[in-house]
Amino acid sequence: MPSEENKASTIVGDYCVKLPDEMRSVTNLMERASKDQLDSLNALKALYAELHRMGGSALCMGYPFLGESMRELSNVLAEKIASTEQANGRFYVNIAQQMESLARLASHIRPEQSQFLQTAQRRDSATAENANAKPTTAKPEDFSLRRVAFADDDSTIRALMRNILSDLELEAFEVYENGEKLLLKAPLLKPDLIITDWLMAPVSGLDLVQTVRSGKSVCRRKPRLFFSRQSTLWTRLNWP
Amino acid sequence: MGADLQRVLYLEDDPNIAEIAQMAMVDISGLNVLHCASGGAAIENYARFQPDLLLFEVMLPDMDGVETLHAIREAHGSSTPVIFMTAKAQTHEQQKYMDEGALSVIVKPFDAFHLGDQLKSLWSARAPLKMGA
Repeated sequence: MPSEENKASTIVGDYCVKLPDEMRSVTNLMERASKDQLDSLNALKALYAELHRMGGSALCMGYPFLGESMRELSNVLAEKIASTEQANGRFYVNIAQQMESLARLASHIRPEQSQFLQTAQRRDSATAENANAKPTTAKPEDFSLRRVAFADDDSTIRALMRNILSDLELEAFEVYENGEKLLLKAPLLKPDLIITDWLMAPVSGLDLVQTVRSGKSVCRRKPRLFFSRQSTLWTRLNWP
Repeated sequence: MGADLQRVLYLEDDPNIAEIAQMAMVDISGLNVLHCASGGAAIENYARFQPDLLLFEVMLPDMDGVETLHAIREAHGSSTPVIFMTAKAQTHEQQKYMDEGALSVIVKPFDAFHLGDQLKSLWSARAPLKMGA
């Protein structure tokens, strides 16, 4: 019998391969809804149903950030369908922009980011450990550094950091051009550690920290933050 | 209550979710599952498969889960227990499905690694159903 990890890996891998096509198909539905003046309500309903389905799919596949984003957009559509006010051009422009953001998010989905797959891996590891039973050893909390997100607007620093991170045998790492890109994409990476430059635009290191600290779901657990420059500021802020 | 839960007729139109649920029920929990992607297919296969339990997604494109249940109940006089799956977590929505005679409502996203145990436990704890209920 295949291990849970193998099976989950196949399912999630297939999903990641098919997702771009699904995104294209839902974008086509959106375009049809915006053009179909005669039957725009039914076209909107079809778009809502598809986005709702895809949101559930992403959630079950273990991509909560993507799934919740799809569900939020489908809720906007549901409200419009329920209202007496007809969808106008401005409404569709807004939906199109949100669809583009979703497509960007979906394009960064990778199998190893799936929480469903990660659970399968943990269960397989636990089964293997139990098979070699050594009784009464409580598993210590995992403090290992597995995923790192890095943001810096200097391309030389980014290239240097890519080399350094590649040598660390991490499970995954991502390098971003600024804090905005990190905030947008890192929730899928779920980093244990964020290393960031201080002076960047449009989202600075400070903006980034404040956003993460205010509860935005970016990290796998309590975030560890490290600043690549301006360490005096860091010290002044008495950051952990 | 007799024998354990074995045969589940599973109605779900999303192929990705269906894959995960089947892994949960078949590979992890050893259940015999027939997956149908539409209400029509579920109605057509019901008599041949003779399920112990119906596991129905509510929101489907043509005939929804509740309509499919009504059609099966009407055609076969069936009292096979049903569990609905839905993404709508509002209490009044769930109550509506419980009023249809459901054993339970499982809200998506479900815990794939415990879905089979959850179904077995709900099925074992069920109260006897009256025919035609």
